[in-house]
Amino acid sequence: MTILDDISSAVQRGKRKEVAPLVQQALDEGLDPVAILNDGLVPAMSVIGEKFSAGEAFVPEMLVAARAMAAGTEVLKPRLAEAGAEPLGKAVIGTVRGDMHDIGKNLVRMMIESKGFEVTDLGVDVAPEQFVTFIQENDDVDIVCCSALLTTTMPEIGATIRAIEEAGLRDRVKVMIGGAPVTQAFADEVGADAYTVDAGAAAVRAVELVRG
Amino acid sequence: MNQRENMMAILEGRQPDYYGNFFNAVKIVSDPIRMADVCPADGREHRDSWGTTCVRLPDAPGKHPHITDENKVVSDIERWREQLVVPPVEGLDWSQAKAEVEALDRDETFVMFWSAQGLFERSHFLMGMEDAFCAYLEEPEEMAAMLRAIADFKIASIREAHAQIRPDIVYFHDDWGSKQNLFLPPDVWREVIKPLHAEIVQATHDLGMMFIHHADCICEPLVDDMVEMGIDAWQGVIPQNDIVAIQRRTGGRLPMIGGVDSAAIDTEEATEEEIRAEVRRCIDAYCPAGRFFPALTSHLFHERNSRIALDELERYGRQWAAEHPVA
Repeated sequence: MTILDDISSAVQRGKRKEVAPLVQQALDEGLDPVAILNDGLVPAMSVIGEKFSAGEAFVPEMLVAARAMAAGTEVLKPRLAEAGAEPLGKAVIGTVRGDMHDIGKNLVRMMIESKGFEVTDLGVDVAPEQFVTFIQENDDVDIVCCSALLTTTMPEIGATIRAIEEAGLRDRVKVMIGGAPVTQAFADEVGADAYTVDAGAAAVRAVELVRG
Repeated sequence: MNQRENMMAILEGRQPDYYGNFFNAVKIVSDPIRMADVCPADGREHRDSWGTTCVRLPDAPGKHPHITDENKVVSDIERWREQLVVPPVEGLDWSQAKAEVEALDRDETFVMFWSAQGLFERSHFLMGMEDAFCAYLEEPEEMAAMLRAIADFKIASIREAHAQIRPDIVYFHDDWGSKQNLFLPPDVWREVIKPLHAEIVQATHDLGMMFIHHADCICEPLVDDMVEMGIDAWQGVIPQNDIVAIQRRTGGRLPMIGGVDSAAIDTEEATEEEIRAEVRRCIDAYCPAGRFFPALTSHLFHERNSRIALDELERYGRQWAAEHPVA
């Protein structure tokens, strides 16, 4: 077992108190901080994401793993900055207007972050104009993620996409959507770039979208 | 058969006169324990009796916990004893509930005591989902101790309701999963939730009441446990569970109420025929095994859709019962 294997194992088991010292140890041993991130932390979350998508891992296990990864990333941050490492991409996420549900949205945020994205979370009950304003004020946003858990709020996803189009911003961002009542057919109907069934798949798709 | 007799015929696997709207056979009254947690649909923050901040947006089907780092009741599971104040059960005003019960023909209608926010739901109402989920894995003993306090409240409230209004049924809500999977790993659920939930079911039975568990989510991996705990019926069963497989597996020992894919038919675009077809699918697929009460699994937001679905439950349910006599 290499130290990267140890880091990966600790993240997968959600042992945040183990992860930070292991990452520090890896740095002290001279490992490249980018390699620690990409070959230790990120693959660990990919394993958890795949297990979650397969129904073999549960939400709490994903949460503790994400928190463990965050503990490791915190140690890495200064060294990544020194190395000039850039985030894989930037995303903004929110539950649409009229909808207060946030578990799924938070899971997607964590999983996308775990892939190396910088994610801004606008929270719940987010109006279309709030998404538009954010994109206008942050011209490096790559992905907009919208979720809805109710059949009554699902149309707000379409309203959000229309608002982005009307503001002339649609070509600048990719739009990912999700939530219990959302389907691929609905995604096609409202013109979303991607729909995924769960948070693990969302993170994988987000990477595909920014890598073209 | 009156409504009560017809409902019991379905749940006990005998020949009913018809399948219709489950909620015609039961009445939920305005008990003071539940009413203390009602949140006005004004889009503003309100604290419930446990101190949890909730918001109910106008036109929303119900309240939603709105928990932040600043307002969470239990911010540290290791300090729950000093942070949590369990609301009182005794000394409340039951006059409204009693008046509603007295207005009912109890030979015709079951009285249900609605015990909302079961152990799991209350735990995340107190802590927020993320903290609660992590605490279940990282501090299971402290979480179990806090759930013990919540279970004691639940048992005390059921006993108080029995003393005050003599309900027939305890209608207990605890969503243990999403529409995709359980929230907690099954072994964690069995270790932390199940023993206390079983006590609540037993306390209900000790008082001669039925225990109907509402969960409009995936519970399929737990159905053997639900049988073991003596749950009298699982209400709100969504078809994302393999209901036919559950019926085979439990051999009828877990009566179920639900089966209609409410989310799928509750859109503005759903046609009348699509709605009626989904109701018929539910009846055709799940009634043959018996002890199954076809029903909507959750409230439909679109009044038109609800009217059509309930009409088809009544129409086709009555036809199906007549054409398929229980052997």
